[in-house]
Amino acid sequence: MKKINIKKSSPYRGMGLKHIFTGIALLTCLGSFAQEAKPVVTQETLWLFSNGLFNTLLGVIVLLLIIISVLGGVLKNVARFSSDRKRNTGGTAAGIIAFIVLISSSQKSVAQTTAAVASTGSNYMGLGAGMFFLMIALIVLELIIIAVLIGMIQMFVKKEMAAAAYVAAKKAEPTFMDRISAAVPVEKEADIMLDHNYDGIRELDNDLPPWWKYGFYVTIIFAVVYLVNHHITKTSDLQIAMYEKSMEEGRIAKEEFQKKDANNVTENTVKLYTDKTHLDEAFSLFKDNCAVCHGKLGEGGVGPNLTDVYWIHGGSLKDIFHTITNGWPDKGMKSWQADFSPLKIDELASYIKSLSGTNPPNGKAPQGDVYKEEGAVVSSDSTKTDSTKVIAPAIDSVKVGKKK
Amino acid sequence: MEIEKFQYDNKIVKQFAYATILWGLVGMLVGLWVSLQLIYPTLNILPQTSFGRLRPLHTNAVIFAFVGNGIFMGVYYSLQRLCKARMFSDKLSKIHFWGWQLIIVAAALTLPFGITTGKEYAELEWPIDIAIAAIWVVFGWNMFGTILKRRERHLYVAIWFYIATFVTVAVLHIVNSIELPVSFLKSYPVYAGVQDALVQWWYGHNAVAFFLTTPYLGLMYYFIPKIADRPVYSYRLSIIHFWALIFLYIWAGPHHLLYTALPDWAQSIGVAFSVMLIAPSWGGMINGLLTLRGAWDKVRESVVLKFMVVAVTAYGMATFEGPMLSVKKVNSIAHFTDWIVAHVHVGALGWNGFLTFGVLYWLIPKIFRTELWSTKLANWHFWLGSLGILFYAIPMYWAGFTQYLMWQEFTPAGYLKYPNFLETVTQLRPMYMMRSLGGTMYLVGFIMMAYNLIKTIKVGNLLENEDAEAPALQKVYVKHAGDHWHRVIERKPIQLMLLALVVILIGGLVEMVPTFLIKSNIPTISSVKPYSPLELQGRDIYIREGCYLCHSQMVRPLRFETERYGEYSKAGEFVYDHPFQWGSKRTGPDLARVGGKYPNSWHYNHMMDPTTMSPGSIMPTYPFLLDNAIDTASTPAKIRGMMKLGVPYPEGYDKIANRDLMAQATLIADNLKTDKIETLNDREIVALIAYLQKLGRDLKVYHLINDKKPQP
Repeated sequence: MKKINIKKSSPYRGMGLKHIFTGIALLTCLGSFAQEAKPVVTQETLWLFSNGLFNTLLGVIVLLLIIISVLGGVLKNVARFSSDRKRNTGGTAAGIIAFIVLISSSQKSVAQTTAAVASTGSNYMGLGAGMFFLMIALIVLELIIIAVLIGMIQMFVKKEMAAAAYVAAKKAEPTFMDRISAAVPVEKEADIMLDHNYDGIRELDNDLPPWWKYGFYVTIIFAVVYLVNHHITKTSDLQIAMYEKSMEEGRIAKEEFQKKDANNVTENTVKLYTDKTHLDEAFSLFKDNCAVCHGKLGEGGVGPNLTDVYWIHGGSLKDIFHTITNGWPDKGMKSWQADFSPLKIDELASYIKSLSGTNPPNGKAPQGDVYKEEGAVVSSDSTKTDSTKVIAPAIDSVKVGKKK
Repeated sequence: MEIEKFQYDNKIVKQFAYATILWGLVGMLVGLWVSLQLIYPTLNILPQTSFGRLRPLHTNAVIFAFVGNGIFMGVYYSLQRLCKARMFSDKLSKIHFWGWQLIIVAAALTLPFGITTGKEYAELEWPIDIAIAAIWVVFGWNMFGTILKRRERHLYVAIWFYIATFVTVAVLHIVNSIELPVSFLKSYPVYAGVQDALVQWWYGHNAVAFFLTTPYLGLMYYFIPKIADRPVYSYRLSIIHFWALIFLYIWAGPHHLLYTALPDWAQSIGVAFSVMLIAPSWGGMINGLLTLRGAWDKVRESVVLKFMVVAVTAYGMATFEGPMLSVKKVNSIAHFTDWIVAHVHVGALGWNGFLTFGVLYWLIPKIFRTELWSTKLANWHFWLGSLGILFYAIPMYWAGFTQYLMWQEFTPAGYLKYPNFLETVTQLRPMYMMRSLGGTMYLVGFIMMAYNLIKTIKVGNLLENEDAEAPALQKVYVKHAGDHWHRVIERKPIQLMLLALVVILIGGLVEMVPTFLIKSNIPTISSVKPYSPLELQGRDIYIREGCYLCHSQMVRPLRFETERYGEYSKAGEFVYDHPFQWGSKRTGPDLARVGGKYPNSWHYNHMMDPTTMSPGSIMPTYPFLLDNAIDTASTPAKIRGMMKLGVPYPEGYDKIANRDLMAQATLIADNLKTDKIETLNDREIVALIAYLQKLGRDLKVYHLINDKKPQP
């Protein structure tokens, strides 16, 4: 049975283990009874076997032990059957095991005390008082164990019967799903069977499930409230209002961040370094990191020429700082803010400004717009109005930007 | 009462079943192929097999070929039995079957060649559209013929769903496919921009409703009670959920266009009606699952019922998820991401796929008078398919969330954390791999089914004409007491159809009429000009290559979108867009503001091999655009077509359009030359560059003109 269970599917596997555990525990208990009995037999010398009373008592003890082991087996099976049927009664099984272990240990202590008593006292029909009482105590104990075992078996059987009765009763009672759906139970469905018959398909006249019906009402109320809210009372924002709010929040958060970061260089606090120390520092960074694309002298390569007056994303210190910090990843310029501190970026930007007009050999052709230091309007959101690349005029030739 | 003898036509059912299996296999194979292309872009190989051309083939094959034939299989089987009559005309059945297969073949032959209208799930060009309409009418004619000669007084709920399917699909298809042919295989839809978007998603959403849902609910209503041998749970629920479903579904289309340039009121209607759809949709699920009360022991035993239970459960999940996705906040997360891909596949693989499999496993042995060849193999299919769905859906949900989280994250300094879109794509590769694994499992299960059914068919012997008998319908119906009021309409199929028609027209009319007639819904922008002839040709290349399947042209008014792409899109920008190209998925970045963002040479190199400009890009290469010449012969007809649709080109412009085209092309070719790129000015790449540089330009012009004006 265990094997089949394990094979069938995983939930049974745990149960299989539990059964093995239960079995082992029960066997241990029985073993402990046997151990208690053994010393009693061997302690006394062989002459005892000629004593009729001893033999009788011993016979009773053995008989009771056999009964106990049989009952133990029955209990084990009943318990297993019960836990098998209701897969999660592992707790009950564990309780039973604990109880049996408790009994067997208490039996030990009782045996010890009776053994102590055995050394003193008189004779009973040729049997030492100690031995007599020990044997009687053992018999009593065994009787108690038998009573307990019978009681437990009865308990299980009752439970089983109750469960069986419950299952039988349940068939007539509505299930949970039936109850919340206000459904007529399967057994009584003849009462609500309609006279429809389509190719053998019949139809029942069950009510609409209340949870479904009221759920439907709730969604209708939601829909009405939603529409009224957005379009009649206008208490809820539509998407553009929401967007503008979120942009405002974003702007404030950005400002706050910049305020808190007072020690940090930001686009607004960036300053031009012209001293040799800072520029040398920047040059070493430039040749290791920037020269690959922009040329050793800033003459341009994959990236644009940094020495002329043409700039794709603006040529002010602030613009350059912004470009290095955030990059233009779409165009191959990565963001360097994870690599360099804002101060270093400030130095780099200053260095790049210092390249202006150096006119190195092999300079790359100009790209972008002419940038003039003074009076040039630099769009604050150059991401959005990068109008330099408009190629072909539309039919009515709207002139945009200026192609150099 | 005289008992009449007649025969059911099983041969036509068999034919549709075979077609279902064949096209299912094709559709799913193409699906697996395109999913692998997203991991290994080299699999794009030929122009004809590039992602943008194959994806419509996948969706069309799965929806109209696999599910379509599945519908007809189920309808032809159940309708005859529910009406106690043979199909109206064997000849019409035959025309319907072969006509539909020809349409599918035509789709398979045109889509890979870039012959497409560029409207999702309605990609087929106008001659095929006409054929679809004609064959659909044949189907309806055959169906109504059968219904009218029925021997059963009342129409069963399954037939209500079939009727609603027939009328609504006809309306959807015809309205959405009104297009102006400019040549044998090229047309422009009469609607433009926002209006086209509204019509398209009214269609797209209700293709899901009335092609993937209502006919399958009809099948569910026949096959589940039949196979489980249980009465339908609630007749009253059938009535309410049927009418509520077809009425409400139609309104929900705009939820595909939340946060777009669609007028707010239309968006709100989309949200409100989508939320109300939960209960009517679930009505079907409840009626299906509760019909199995007292038969769950059968479900444990029967692989057919197992498939159906999972199908109905998947239906319940997808139809709960749908309304949730229509809530604007959730939509702003999920839209354009792989979440939507996961959502539709729970529906397609779970609901449509599994229900079809259940029907096939039951129906084939039945009409072939034998047992299923291997129940064990069918059980394997069930488990493999179920696991396949999980392996498909879970990584895609994950991918959707990942995408959204990366798109919207700002640094504390207030900049986008992942300004490079590509980063958000390469991140998804492992999820795409898992998805392909899930798809493979599902496909392997499908092949196992095909094998199993072929074996079954070999053992069996088709009962082509199945004997049946039923009493003739009496001329006069004597009403009996206690009849539900709804019984009246169930006796009158034509009235039922007309009523369904009225019910489904309401939502569409309420949304479309104001959008078309009230000018304030689409405020015009003075600087928005028609496409130049070169740009128009470039746009048609863009459509031909299916760019819209991966790139949207719709910047939503969300901070993380405008920071990434630029100003949010306005309704007035799209007035000359026949068809609109807003897209529904961003595998690549939005292109609404791409004009002027990169030099021409960037586009040239990028089209030749995207990885040269964006290392790691999964976009297909388009080297053939560098070689193909622009089809200038088509320019005059295209211009004339656009003029007929109201695009204000000057009178007679069609005759000189090519002159302007060449002038603009020369300008671009010269510009490319400055970047050391030599190209002939009549190559397709030049036209495509012209179009891409136009995107978003008109709005920039608007700002250049208007923002400089001194404030009054």
